[in-house]
Amino acid sequence: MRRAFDVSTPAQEAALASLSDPAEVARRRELNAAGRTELERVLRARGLAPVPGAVANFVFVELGEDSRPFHERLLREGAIVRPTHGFGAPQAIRVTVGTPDEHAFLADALARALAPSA
Amino acid sequence: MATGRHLDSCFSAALRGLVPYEPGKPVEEVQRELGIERVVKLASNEGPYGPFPAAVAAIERATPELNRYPDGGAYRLREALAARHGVAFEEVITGAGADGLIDGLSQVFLDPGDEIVCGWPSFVSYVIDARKLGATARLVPLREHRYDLEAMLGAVGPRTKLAYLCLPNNTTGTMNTRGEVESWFERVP
Repeated sequence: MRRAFDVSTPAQEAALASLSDPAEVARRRELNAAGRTELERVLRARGLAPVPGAVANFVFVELGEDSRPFHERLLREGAIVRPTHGFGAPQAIRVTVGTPDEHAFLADALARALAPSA
Repeated sequence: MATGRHLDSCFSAALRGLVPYEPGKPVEEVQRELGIERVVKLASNEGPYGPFPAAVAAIERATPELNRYPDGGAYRLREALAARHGVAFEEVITGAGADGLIDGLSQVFLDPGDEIVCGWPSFVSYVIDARKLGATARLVPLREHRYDLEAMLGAVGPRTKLAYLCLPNNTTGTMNTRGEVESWFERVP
């Protein structure tokens, strides 16, 4: 039933090499944890409320209204987040954890998107 | 036009009920459409730091042989994963992303009229792949943004073929406790 060749050779080799580097796994895990904390801080500083208890590399924010206009405003400032209509949550967005530089960019984009004249 | 009407009637019935999944746009497309220089993509749960250096090296080593089909059985990878997780080789399957695995599971188990159970809002592929095969998705609302395993147990019925526990949940990022999950496995029919 499974298509036989969907997992490519580069994918298999990359997976094997990554499995053999537990130090890098640990480093990425720490970067993600710190990044998620910072992302939550950036969002809360703008009056947004990411759902607490997030443990992966993304956070979920309920906006109390259709999230597509907010997503559009943020997009125009260069920051792409995910409106979660397709996932059954039309009033929310999902934001992935990025690098510190990307979080700083997001903070600026949020400030401009949420400014009264926007 | 006659040709268009004929083509419409050829599409499978299951297709009619589907809403297309809209993936995130690539950065270049957004830059092009909006005429902006810098775009930061935080929409698709991609890791921001690139592949592991060891992975990049492994990909480069594999490149000269890309004219050859890959190992369809992913033998060495499944061996390594089985050893790492203390399971039998036969208990490991690989797929192109979670979507590849969900598609495979759906195709193996779901007949028209069968049911899947999952929390909602959660990973949309569970639902799309079930509906494509004429199966029904029983969507169990999250409780305080977490999978409600008690309510999910209640949604399992005689036609249930697949129950998905999305841990951590994609959308909300929340996790359930080991105790909750073990209780689920003890009690699910």
